[in-house]
Formats: sequence, C-alpha cells, structure tokens
Amino acid sequence: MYKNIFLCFFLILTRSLSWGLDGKEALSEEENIYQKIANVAITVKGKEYPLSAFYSKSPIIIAQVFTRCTGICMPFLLQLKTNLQFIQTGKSYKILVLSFDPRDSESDMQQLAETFSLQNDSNWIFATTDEIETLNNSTGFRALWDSSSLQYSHEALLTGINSEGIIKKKLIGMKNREAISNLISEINHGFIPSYSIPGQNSMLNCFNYDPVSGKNKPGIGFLIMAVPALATFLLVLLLGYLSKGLYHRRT
Amino acid sequence: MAELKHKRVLSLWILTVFLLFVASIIMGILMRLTQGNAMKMDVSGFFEIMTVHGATMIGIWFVAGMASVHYLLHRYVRVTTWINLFAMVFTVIGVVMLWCAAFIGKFHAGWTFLYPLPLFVAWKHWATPVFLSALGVLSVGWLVWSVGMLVAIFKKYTLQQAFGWQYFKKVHQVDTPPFILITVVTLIGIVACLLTALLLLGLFFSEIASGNKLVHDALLMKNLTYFFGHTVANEILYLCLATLYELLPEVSGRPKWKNSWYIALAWNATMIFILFAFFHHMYMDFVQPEAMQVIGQLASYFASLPAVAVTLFSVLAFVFKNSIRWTTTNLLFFLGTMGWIIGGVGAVIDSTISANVFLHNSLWVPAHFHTYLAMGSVLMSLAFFNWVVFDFYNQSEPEKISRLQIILLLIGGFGFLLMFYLGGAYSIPRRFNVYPSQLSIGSALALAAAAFAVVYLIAIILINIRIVKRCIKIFSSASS
Repeated sequence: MYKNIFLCFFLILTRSLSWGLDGKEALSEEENIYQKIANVAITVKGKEYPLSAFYSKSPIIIAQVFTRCTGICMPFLLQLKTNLQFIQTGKSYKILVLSFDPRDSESDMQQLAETFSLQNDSNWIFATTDEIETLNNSTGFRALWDSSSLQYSHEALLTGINSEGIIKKKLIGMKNREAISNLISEINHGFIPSYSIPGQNSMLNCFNYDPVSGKNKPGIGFLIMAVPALATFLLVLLLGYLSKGLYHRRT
Repeated sequence: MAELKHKRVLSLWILTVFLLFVASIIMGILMRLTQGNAMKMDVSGFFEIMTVHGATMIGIWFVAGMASVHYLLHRYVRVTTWINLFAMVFTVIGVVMLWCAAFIGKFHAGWTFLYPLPLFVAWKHWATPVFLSALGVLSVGWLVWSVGMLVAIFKKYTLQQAFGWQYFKKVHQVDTPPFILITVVTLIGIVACLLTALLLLGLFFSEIASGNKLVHDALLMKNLTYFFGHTVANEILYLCLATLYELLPEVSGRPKWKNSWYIALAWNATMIFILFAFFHHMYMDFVQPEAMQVIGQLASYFASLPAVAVTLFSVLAFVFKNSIRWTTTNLLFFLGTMGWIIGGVGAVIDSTISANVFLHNSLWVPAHFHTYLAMGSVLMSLAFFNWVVFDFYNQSEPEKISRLQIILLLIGGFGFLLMFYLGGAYSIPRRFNVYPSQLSIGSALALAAAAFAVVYLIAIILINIRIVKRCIKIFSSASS
C-alpha cells in the first residue's frame, strides 16, 4: 500500500513538473518515432564508444536521468529495475542509463549504479555524453533548468532502440510491466497488439472491452457490418415480390 | 433507333475504358521503373499514381463488365439505355473528381483508403472529401445501374427462376439461361458492396463533419472497406464470366450452354460465400474473433471452388477433342479463363491463414490480383469488345488470329506477373516506392516487370486498334 502511495505521489509530482514547463510543448510518445537515433559518443567506465556500438549488438532502452534529481529519476529507475526482474521475455536487450546533466561525471554514474546494486549487471550500462543536446533532439527529450530549485524539470522517458538504431517506441512516465514488456518486444521486432479503448466520442465499436472480465463483447458496430447485406436481401425480396405480381399478370 | 443509341453508348464505354486502361498501364510502368531505380519520382507523386492506378483499373474493368452484361441483357429482357447513360455520366464525373483529388489535391492514401489514413491529411485539405465524394458519385451511379438491370430481369423472371431454383425440382417448365443466372447473383453482390461503400463513406463524412471529434472504430471501418473493395474486385470477374457463358459457344459455332442443377447450385453458393470471403483481409486484426477468421478462410475456398469447378469443367470439356472455330474472341475467352484460374489459385493460397502469415502484404498479393485482372477479366472483356464490334454491323468475326498479338500478350502479361510472384517469393513488401539495399532484388524484378509491361502495352494497343476504329466509326456514323 505504501508503495502505491509513494508511486502516486511521484506521478502527481511528475505531472506538476510537466505543468511547470511553461511555453514548452509537452512530450509526445509519437515524436521522432521511426527516426534513426543520433549516433553520439558516450562514455562508459572511462572509455568512449559510439552509441551504435551498443545497439548494433542488441536492442537498447535508453533511460535519461540525472544523478542530482530529487524528483522522478530515482523512483523511475527503481521501478524499472523492479519491473524488469519480473519480465521474462527471453528477448535480448540492454538498459542504457544516460545522464542529461553536464554536471554528472563518470563517477557519479557509477555511484548511481551502485545505489541500485547494478554495477555488476552486464545488462545495465551507466554512461555520460558530451553531446547531450544532440541526443535530446534525437529522442525528443526536453529538460528545463529551474534555477530556484536547482533542478531540471523533465519527464521520465524510456526510448526503445532496435538493432538498426531506429527509435521504435517511447514510454513517458512510470509505466507498468505490460507496457515495458511491449517495449522490449517491439525493439526486438515483436508484434504488439493494440485496440482502441472505446471513448465517449465513439458510438459504433465492433467490440466493447470489459476491463473487469478482460473480454471483448460485440458492440453495435458488429451489427452494422451486416446492414448492407440485409438491405440487399430485403431489396431483392421486394423486387421479387413485385416481379411475381407482374409475372402473374402476364400469365 | 433505341438499338443504335445502345450501340453508341457501348462504343463510348469501350473507348473510355481503352483510353483509361492505356493511361493506367503507363502509370503502372512508371511505378515499376521508380521501384527499379530507373527513374526518380517524389514519394507523394508515387503514391498519388498508385492511388489513381488502383482506383482506375478497378473502375474501368468494373464498368467494362457492366456495359457488356447490359448489352447482352437485351437478348432476354427489355433494359433501358437511360440507366446506362446515367451510369456513364456519374462515372465520368467520379473519375474526374478522383483524378483531381490525386493529381491536383495530392491525395495519396491508396485506392483502398484504409481508415484512418484519409483523415491524416498529408495533402490539400479539400482532397480527402473530394476523393471520398468521387467514390460516392461512382457508387450511386453504379448502384442505380445494377438495380435497374435487376428490375429489368425480375420483370421477366420470377425470383425462383432468376436464381435457377427450378432446376432443383425434377420437372421444370421455364429455362433460365446461365447468363441470366450469373448476372443476377453478380448484381446482387454488387448492390451489397455498393451499399457498403455508401455506408462507409457516410461514416467517413460524419467524422470529418464532427471535426474529428467523433472517432470511428478502425475495425468496423476496415471490415466495411474490404467488404466493398474485395467484393467489387471479385464481382468484376463474375460479370466477365456471364459474358463468357453467353458468347463462348456462340462464337465457336457450338450449341449454347444449358443451365442445370449443378450450375445453379454453384452460382447460388458463390453468391453467398463471396459476401464472407473478405474476412481473409482481417487475419492480422487480432481483435476480430477467431471464428470470423476461420469463416474467412472457408468462405474464400467455397466462393471460388464451385464457380471455378463448374466453369473450368465446362470450358475444358468444350475445348477438348471438339472442333472449335477458333477466333480472336474465343481464344481471348479461353486465355482469360486460364488467367482467372491461375490468379484464383494464388488468391486461395493467400487466403489460407497459415500461408497468409508469410505472404501478407508481400508482392504475392499484387501478383495474384494482377493475374486474375490483367490476364483474366481484361482478356475476357477484350474478347467481348472484339466480338461486339462485329455484332454492331451484324457481321461474324473472321477466323483469323494474329499470332504476334497473342504471343506478345502472353509474354508481356505473364512475364510482368512472374516478377510479382518472384518478388513475393523473396518476401519483397508491397507498396514501397523504392526498395532499401537489403531488398535490391526487388529493384531488379521491378525493372524487368516494367520491360514486360511495355510488351503487354504494345499487345493491348495492337489488339485494340481494330476495336477502337470500329467504335469510333459506330459513334460517328450514329451522330451524323
């Protein structure tokens, strides 16, 4: 229960921080989708690599954070780590935790890794880059410096990159296991089923999803599919009836 | 006088179809040259041409089939020329609107205009409503035409007679010609799919009118789109088969085919099953219940098998060890039947769920539908055109076949189609304007296909020269 309250608190906090992005357009999960990610140089454990050196080996999920964050970054990483422990997809992928704060050093990132006991986990890479602006433009990530709180106002973003370096999916905010599982599947060229949830502005759904039972029940749209065939059937019957009259008059 | 007016309208249809056919083939060649990297075309230009090519091809061979059936119906029932003229006016208006939407308005969502693509405006804002209105105009024109012909038939034949149900009894007094039976079941399918088109367009316009506040269910829209698109494409073939049943024995100097219980049963079954076959377009739509996917596969088999079995048996029995008076007309009918069968087999394979998983949206799809259209219904319609230009003057067609024309047609047509099938075998996706380096084989195949299509175009022009000359003659002589 406390965990949920904790999560709700940070979700509200995240939302309030995004409201603080005055004059800034809110992030969109569709922005820059299917674009090739900028092949920036990143530093991992003192060595510099091009980003492509990682994604060309296996798809990667980029988590953009900063170590001095007093807001979303820590619970975001904690939840990501927890969720991934329960997701058994059998797919290959790595998590690249990348700082967007120029103040963050290599040792700051290693300390962050140790905080989460991930320093020896080969699936997790903690890195910095000198090309933050380029990377942010490429992923569509926006961070606004707030000089009063000495914090960045930003959202929690996961960017899924496939082995060709294409941004396949983005997740904004703290997502559940199913969403992260779908992200992993998508960067591995898996099929992600999706069906729009009926809204108030939609009247003619073929099926209505019942979240309680988890089942799709036929809707009015399902019946509409039969309307033209039924109309034709009635028309033919009508023409047949009229022709019968003519036939009898003739004979 | 009415007879002369009727001939004039038909000759105008033939001239229109021929002109638009040549233009559409040229568009097809340009697309294949672009895919083959032999020429450059901007992305929207490519898809504009693809949209117009698809819509025009389906439209012209539909009206060719309808005009043929309309002409032949005069042998059995009194059918007014006014509905023919009405359909022509609506068709011309519709085609002009459609071409304007694509070439001036830059609309390029494909002729299948799959929801919600037309509403994601990447072209001039007026182009989407104009494109959809064009389809509406065409649907209304053709719906009136279809219902008009049905009314004419039902004035002479009762419902039971029109469907050939009397053949299920031991004794029957009235004969229903196979031509009437096939025409009736085909027109009923056409009415159903045109009503679907109008319903679909209504839903599109309701969303546009609401300023996109009203959002329709993509699954409903896709089902309706393919109910219309798939059914109308299939009915084109059945219109051609109606003319084949009527004319093939006649032009071959053989007695007319009689109707029987198995022909009636086959075509009644086809009429029902074709209405459910479109479900095979929904295999990738996981929300569609599994039962409907299974129905889609079974209906695809049952819609094609009875008509194919009966027609193929009739045509082969007719040709085998019989002295046939071969002319260009019956040769084109025969080749068209073979093209229809080959394309039909490709379609049945594609409609099999386990195969569709691999073939879906690959070049296999255009391969099969180009086969039964370009080498099926086109040849059958050309056969009719070739016959009718002699019938205009009450003449018999000379027993002379230009081997060069037929050889060019076969090499060009099947060579062009083979490149599509090979593309499907290599998993080359359809609807790509250019192929990435990983799919370079697709570019090579496209280039070869363009060369074969040029040969096919030459053959079509050569075959049509005589037809066009005679059509112009009948049209001008009537007006003078």
